[in-house]
Amino acid sequence: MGEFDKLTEAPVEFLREGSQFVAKCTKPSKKEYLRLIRAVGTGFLMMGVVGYAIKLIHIPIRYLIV
Amino acid sequence: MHRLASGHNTTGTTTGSTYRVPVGSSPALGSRRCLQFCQPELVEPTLCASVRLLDLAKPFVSLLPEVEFPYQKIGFDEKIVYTVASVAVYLLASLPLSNVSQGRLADPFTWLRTPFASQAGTALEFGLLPIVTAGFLWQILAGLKIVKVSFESRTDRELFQSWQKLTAVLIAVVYSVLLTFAGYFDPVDQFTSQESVPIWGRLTYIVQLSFMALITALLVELLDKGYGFGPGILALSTAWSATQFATSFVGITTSVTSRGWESHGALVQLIRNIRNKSFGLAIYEAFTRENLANLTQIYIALAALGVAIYFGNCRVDIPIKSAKVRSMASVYPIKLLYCGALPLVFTYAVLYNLNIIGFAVTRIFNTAPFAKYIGQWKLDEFTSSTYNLTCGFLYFISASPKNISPIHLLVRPITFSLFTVIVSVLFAKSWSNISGSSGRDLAKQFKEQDISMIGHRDTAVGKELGKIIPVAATTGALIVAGVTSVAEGFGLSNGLAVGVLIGVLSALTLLESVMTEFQQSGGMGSQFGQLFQQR
Repeated sequence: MGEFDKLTEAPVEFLREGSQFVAKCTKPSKKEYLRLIRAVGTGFLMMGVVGYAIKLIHIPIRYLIV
Repeated sequence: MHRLASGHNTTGTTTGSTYRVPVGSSPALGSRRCLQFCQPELVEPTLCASVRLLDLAKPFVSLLPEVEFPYQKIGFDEKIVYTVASVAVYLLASLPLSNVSQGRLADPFTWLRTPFASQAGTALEFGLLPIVTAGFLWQILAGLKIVKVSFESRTDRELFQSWQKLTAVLIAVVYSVLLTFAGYFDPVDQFTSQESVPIWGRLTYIVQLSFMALITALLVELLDKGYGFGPGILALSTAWSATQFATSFVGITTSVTSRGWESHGALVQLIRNIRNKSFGLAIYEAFTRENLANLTQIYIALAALGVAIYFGNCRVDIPIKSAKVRSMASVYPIKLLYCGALPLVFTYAVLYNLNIIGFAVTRIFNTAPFAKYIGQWKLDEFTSSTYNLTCGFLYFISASPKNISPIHLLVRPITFSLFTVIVSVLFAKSWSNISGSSGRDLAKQFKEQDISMIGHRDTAVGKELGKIIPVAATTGALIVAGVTSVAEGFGLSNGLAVGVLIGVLSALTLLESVMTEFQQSGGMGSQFGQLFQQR
């Protein structure tokens, strides 16, 4: 039993410290979070669409070289 | 004000640039960055009699192409243009390799590809993997002081960088040789494939792939050296995963499959299905198709995106004040995800490397008895465009859902999660020391900028930060790894979710460096700056 305790001690301690830290954290409020989601989400999707558009150039290139 | 602001920035650079090479000798840009990497022990003159490993790169320095530091500070607009251009060049580089028919290639690494911006059968076969691996490798070697590098000296930094580039190319050479001999590039379709590719044709794979690794390394270096934004690896990875996500979501291009023409985008495919098939079947198929992205993957990726944004914005604010400006009190945020996406990138880099080596070794030595313990790959019988891991050591640390045996199906998610969590947490624990962003280093920066923590004496700052940072780093890594285990562990998402997760976390890091740049350079007058002003 003693050995088992020693083995689990480190992860348990780690989880305890971690959850304390998370509890202490400043988390985004609901309003802030929705704003962030909108901003980052649109940004990410826009970036993706632009990247996709760039990759569309591949179709003629492939047609030419293959 | 400005000093405080620049102190504030360093979180962005520290967490973000952690696996970038510590560069910077241009006085305007580099000074801040190089300071954060120098450690007191390393400054001592290295006049040892033996030859340092670092110096062995000297003959290659003149041979390797290098990006010069900018002569003057690059403006905000120019930085955006440079970043977009490099990303565009990278995206366009995914041209098919010559002598390889991309459609008839079976890909064993699909679930690993998105974070590393790689694509099967193209010049980006390895994507960012060589440069990421080399970066981690050398940073760890330097951090553990196996290789002595004095980041204050310009020549040492240059040598260090040349080693990274050299290692990246070397990794690409080794892996392309391995995969070539493993028959990875041979078409799987026996009926239509003609005679096998001659030996010189195989040699071209190696040349193409190692050349591409060098170009990738240079693109990353260009962004790192102050021409563009953020650590180059993160910029490329973000752009790629965003592209991948957009393609899987709304891609209008089609490719031919056994069921006829199918759209790449899951949403587009759903609309196409509704028009052609019965309603129930249309929806069922849009959620379950396997050869291309399906809606299940999209939803998992969206959930990962939401979680990443939430935790990416959690932080602990440490109250600080400047000793010079009396009335200035401010906060220094320590982010919960202190290392950002790096622990996950590291874990996936380990997995990707292991899988490439494992696949090649089991193919080359397919008769050896140990081969089946490493891993077994089976050609997917429906699509014949992927190899699925079905057994062996690598199966248990993979996100491949294909197996007939129920015990395997039950055990794999657990072992995969354990592996991801343990590797990520251990990495995060040591990374702040290795990369020079530990509490002690941060305290030194505070001292240089005359910043003190409110409620702590100057001497105790390092200790106090040293208590907070490892907890933040490991907890952040645990959260990110946990999200990955849930999103990827069941094998439904096929790498899209982890790609989006890493992409969004990197995007947050990049955004931070864009915003600080914007504030510092007074980007109000610039063209792109007006975009940010509206927010």
